[in-house]
Amino acid sequence: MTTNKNHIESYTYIKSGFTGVSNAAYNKYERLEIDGGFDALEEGYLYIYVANETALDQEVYFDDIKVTHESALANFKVSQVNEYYPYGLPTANSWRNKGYIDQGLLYQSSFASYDSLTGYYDFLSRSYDPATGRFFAVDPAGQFSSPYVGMGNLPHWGVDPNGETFLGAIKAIGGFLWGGLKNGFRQSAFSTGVNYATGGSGFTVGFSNNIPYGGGPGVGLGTNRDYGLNFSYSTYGFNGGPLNGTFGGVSGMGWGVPDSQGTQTYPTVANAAEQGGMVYMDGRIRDYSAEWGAGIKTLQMINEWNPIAIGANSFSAFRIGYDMTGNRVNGGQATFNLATALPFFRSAKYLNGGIKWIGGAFKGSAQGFAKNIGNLNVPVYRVYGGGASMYGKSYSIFNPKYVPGYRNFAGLPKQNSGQFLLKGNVQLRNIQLGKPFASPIIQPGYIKTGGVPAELYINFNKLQYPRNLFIRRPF
Amino acid sequence: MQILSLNSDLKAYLKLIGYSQDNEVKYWPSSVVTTGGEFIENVCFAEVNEYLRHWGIMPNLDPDKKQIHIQNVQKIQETPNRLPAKFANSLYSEGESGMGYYKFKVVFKDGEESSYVTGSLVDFIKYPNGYSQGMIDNIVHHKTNKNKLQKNLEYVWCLFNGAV
Repeated sequence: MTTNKNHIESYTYIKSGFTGVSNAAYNKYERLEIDGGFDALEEGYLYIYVANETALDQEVYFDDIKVTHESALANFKVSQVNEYYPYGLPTANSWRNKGYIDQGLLYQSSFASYDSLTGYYDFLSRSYDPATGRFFAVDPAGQFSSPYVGMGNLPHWGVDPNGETFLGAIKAIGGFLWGGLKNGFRQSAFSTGVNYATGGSGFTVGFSNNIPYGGGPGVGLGTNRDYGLNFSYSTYGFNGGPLNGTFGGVSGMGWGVPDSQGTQTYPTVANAAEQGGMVYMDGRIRDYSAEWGAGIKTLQMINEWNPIAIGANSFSAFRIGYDMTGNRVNGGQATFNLATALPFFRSAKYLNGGIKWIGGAFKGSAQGFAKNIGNLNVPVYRVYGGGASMYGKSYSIFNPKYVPGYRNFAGLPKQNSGQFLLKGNVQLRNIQLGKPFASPIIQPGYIKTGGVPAELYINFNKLQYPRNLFIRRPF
Repeated sequence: MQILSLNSDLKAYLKLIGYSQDNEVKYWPSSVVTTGGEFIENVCFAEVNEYLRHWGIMPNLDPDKKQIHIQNVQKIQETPNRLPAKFANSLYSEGESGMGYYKFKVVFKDGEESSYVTGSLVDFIKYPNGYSQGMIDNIVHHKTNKNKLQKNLEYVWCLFNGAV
């Protein structure tokens, strides 16, 4: 067994485990189990790998990978699932649960906000078309021979978090951490419904439903006093750096491969209960809004219909992020007590590989959790012009470009012409809560509806990478 | 157009008027008599570099701003529409009420109130009839009374280069 502490760089390594493939998997599936795995007592992450560590040009198919989880949380549910083609185009399998607003900060990084109307991504530096894999503007950093290519035409190999900084697999672990830890594994999030569904505002719900940071802990701001989600889970590390070169396309991968179950059927809402409460990550259950409740649950990472192929010296990772706040309140813990996988290979009679896991926790428990969360960056926006200055305390997490009727949404008075747009990033720790929400403004001859708590207080001097966007129509 | 420095006469005027301050930028809310003899009631003087860091865009590039050039200013004097620096600084220190605007109430010594929604510059306000700067008792941040809301006053920027 090997472990790589670099994978949990800023977290404290706690425990790991491994069960290897044997020649029993030759020409048939072998059931691998890691039993009695991991008790999560504090915030952190759990990585589940299936790996093929053989240099031979021999693929191993892994099927039906599950993790069983036991939690005291009574309101555990799925908020959103996203799946992408390699260049970031969302597949039809992407979905979100009822009661959650769509979260656009998904593919590539927390900077890349997806506009479902145009189908484009707004990276920090440039806009990007995932259908063609091309940026609309030239690369400010001139990284590649063509200034328009997305991720250097290597979306499986690295990430470009802001449109001008490609991080490739040459920084293998770094790319993994960047793409995986922070941004890459953002395909789904399980969260406690009460924190988000009843957050009370678009801001709270959208910001706290965990998607901007992949499967990592969510962040509760505004009315979300419970400090985010209590459990999160993510899979499909699409474009999360070097992993994706081995993972290939999620959709359709493995079709035609002998199936461990021998049949190919599709779960529906109607038969979800018959599936033992599992939510299959291919997204075909699109309306699974019922809460799971406390108890033993199973997370299905690769469903029994779609085995994935792992090439030589490759692996595919899945990450579970856990925030134990709620569990501690309930005096409990989360126990990841069983991971299983069904490997299968054809040609060679013996291969190295299997299923692995590594668990780590944030340093300093709850305080460490808060510290790590505080380091996360979020993009913020400020419109100004006319009587409104660029400098100020109030910012929005919503990109005004994508909010129809932004003026009314934000409750802007006419003193702010909205002719100009400032965009920057801010670490969560530098967002000051307690700002009075924007309230309706009524002026002589000018009535604003406003009243949406769309703004944050931020110390302007803490704004990172502030940049004025082009002069545009007023908001 | 190049932004020029203040001549000694204009410096003396501004020193008499005194400034309010929002973070790094200082404002001298004044009235102006131009070299052409025109009287402009509300003119805000600011040092160009301080202004640019704070406001982000030169007045001539923003269609919603007005500007007078310093070389066209003959005389600077106090404006009756000024919110005293003590209260303006209090508002700046408290911070804006929303993105690019302030909401506040001015409470006069006789108990009368007047409400305002201004942009990022709070130094020019329209006083109710019969009231003036010296009659202000205090201000209330982020609150307005829609029945007492005053119209906004327009103002003109005048930028200069260098110290006062």
